[in-house]
Amino acid sequence: MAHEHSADRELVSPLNARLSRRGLLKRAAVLGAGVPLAGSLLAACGGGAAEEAPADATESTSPAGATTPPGQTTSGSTGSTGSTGSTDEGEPRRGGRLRVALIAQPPSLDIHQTTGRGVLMAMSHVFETLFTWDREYAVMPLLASTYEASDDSLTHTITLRQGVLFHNGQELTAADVIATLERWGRLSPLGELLMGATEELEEVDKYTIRFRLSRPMGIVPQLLARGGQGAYIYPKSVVEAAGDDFVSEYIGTGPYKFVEFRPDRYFLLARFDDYVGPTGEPSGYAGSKAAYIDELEFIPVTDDAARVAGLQAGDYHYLEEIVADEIEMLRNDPNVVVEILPVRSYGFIGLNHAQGPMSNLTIRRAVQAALSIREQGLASHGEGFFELGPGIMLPITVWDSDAGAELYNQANPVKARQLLQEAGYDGTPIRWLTTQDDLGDYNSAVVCKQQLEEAGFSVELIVLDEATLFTTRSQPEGWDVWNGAFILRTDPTQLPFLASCDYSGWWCSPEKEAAFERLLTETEFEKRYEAFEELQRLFYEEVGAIKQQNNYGIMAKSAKLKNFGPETTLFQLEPEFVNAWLEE
Amino acid sequence: MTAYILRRLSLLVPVLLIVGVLVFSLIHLTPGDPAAIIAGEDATTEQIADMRERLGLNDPIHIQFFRWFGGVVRLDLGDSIFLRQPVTEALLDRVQPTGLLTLYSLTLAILIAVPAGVIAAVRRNSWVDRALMVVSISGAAIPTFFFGILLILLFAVILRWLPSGGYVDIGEDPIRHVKSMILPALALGFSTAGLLARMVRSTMLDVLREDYIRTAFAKGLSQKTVVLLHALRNAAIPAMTVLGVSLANLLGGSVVVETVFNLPGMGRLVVESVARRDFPVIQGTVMVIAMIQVIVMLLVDVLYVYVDPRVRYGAD
Repeated sequence: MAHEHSADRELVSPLNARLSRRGLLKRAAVLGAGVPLAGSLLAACGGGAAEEAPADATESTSPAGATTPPGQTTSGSTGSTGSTGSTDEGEPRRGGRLRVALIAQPPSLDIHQTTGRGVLMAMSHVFETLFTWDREYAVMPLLASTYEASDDSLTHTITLRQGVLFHNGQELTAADVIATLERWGRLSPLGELLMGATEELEEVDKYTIRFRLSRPMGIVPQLLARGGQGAYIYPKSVVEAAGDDFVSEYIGTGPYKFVEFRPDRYFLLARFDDYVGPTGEPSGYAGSKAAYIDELEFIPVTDDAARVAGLQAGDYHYLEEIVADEIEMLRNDPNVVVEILPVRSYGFIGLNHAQGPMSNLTIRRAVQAALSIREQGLASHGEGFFELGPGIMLPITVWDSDAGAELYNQANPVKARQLLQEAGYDGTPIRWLTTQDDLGDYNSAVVCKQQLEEAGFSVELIVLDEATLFTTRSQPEGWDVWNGAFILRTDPTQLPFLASCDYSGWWCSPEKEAAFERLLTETEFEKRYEAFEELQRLFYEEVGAIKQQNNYGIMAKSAKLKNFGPETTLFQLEPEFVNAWLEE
Repeated sequence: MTAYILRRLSLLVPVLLIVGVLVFSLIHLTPGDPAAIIAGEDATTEQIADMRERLGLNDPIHIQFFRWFGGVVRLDLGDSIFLRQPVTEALLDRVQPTGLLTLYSLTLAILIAVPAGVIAAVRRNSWVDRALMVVSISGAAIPTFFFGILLILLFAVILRWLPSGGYVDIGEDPIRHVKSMILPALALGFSTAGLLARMVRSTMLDVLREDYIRTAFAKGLSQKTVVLLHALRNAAIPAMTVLGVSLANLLGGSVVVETVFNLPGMGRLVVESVARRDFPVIQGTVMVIAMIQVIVMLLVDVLYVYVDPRVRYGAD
């Protein structure tokens, strides 16, 4: 298994051009600690000076003011670089309407209230967070200018960039940030994590806020960075008008402003000419952001075939999602660019610890022993679109770990059979929830069923639509196993099955809770990493759930969309269309 | 006649009551609720429960029913949980795409089916008849979504003459509107045309064997006059019944076509509302579609009077 694991990684390494684990660890040792992080962020802010903002606004919105990064190399077929200036894709061109096909109508555009990926992609152009991520997933300032943590990590001070304007013309101030964070703390699991530990959130001056925490926490900037249900800053007036209900006005500080939302048709964003963005070379979601494209239109297109046909016909410039089966056909189309991206999610099998056979540890271990992850990956994503790896944090993050690897991908039905005998399994059918709304998940479930039955289990597949699956798995009754996927998390505290004993499956033990507490409260990265490795080891030993294969992303875009690809933006937390332009 | 129409319209009340109870019961007995969808995949049991509370889904089911049906009686279909707008507004926004799609498809179906059926009947057992019937059977047999995708591949992807999907309001840009509706109308209209052409052919054959047709020919009337004035009018009654049913089918078929061509119509609204468990929208849309069906069938019955003078209502 270990051999197979490393071979898979070699296969993908050149494609991803990712940092080595040692390099990441070295970097994380700096980034993980509160005070050193302040230094890192200060450096990223150009020495902590806050007065760069107005000049930045011109540069961020003007192609003429764009800069060329030093010697970034290309990978894949886009031939793009991270530059905001002239590249081998030609000179930036201002204008046009970018049309993006989303897989579904978002439940709301209020980004505090939904984890929908389409909302994250679109509304991250409208709203901004205090911090964001660079291309190596190091935390960087966005609306923040400086960050400072006390030695005991109980006090965290954040200064805002000055001169940043909301789309309604008002200037961003500490009052807006505090009002937003208080609301976010009530609505988002991440917010609950931070605000639950916050004794006081103080407005020091017009541009400075200070957290006083009840316990040390070394991940304040990470919790405030870009992500699903993240701490996106709204004007105080909008927050006060909405309360905990959905906001009715979408006013942010981002490079695009909200124009119109017609449910099931489209929602439209337009360039915000007074945008005051960060400076510095573009890197991941960080650095300067030039809005060359006039308008961004997001269109829900629920049918897979219709999305692909629309891309080929030139009706859409980018697809939120594409299935691997469509790739070969698109590769022959000169109007379309397809690229395999680094891992962005992994398959996951949830086990019901609260009731039924899976409440028995020996039976859970039998499930773990019986499964061959490679076959599941082949069924769900196909050869060349996944890799194996035991880490419950994706290997592109600093948290990659082999802890518990000996229990991953055992593919050992004989051992499973022995464990079942030991547990006295009486043949009660395992009720496995799955959905055909995601064919990959369904195919994986079918293969798992076969593998478990070979080991002596009786398995009943219960095929539901996604809504029913979500509801059913949130209650302890009526099911034993479900399968799905987890998209990238930048910090392990964001993994719901680690963070809460109340998440579907209800995996809980005193050891797990103690390790999670250390992960949350330790401030040095090495100590946090140790706590995380302990959690991952417990994940395997207690069989909290089953981690499956890491899935690569797939990018499908129109050849007219320039300076857009894995070298210019990140895809794990959805791509940005800043610094990209449309060819005529 | 007026009494007949009023009597038929009064039947709407029990029909809508039955439909309302059935739809409400079916939806609420089906597992899955919007709280889990809106709260997101990472939500804990407690967060989903909080969302249910905020959405008012924890009230007893009979209270929810009377609250909803009380609104329906006052023509208030409630608010969409997902779209954050009144159901009536959501429906009105989608009436134009579905209504025009149905109209264009039906027109196309009639324009194709009536001449094809008449020609096939007049030239029965000839190669023309066989060719037309092969085409019409194909129209009825090919699944609409498959035919739609074939049309997209040919006219949007390969030839690039027409858009692959999407909708443009007729008032916004009539030319782009027409372009956006050609393929969906063709996909939906072709299958209806197949069924209708076979019905027209069959009834025309029956009528052409009638004595009065032979008499008309004996009087020296031209074939054109006999077929179009005498035979077709008499063959129209069964065809109209099929047309009424077809209209209902078109509303149903639009669910598929609207999805394939990404049209924001009522059919797609129902399908997507079911997927996201937007109870008020599902209930409201099904009620409105049921009402449309009843009214369409009534209109067909009324039209019989004008097409066939022998038909009389209200004398009984």
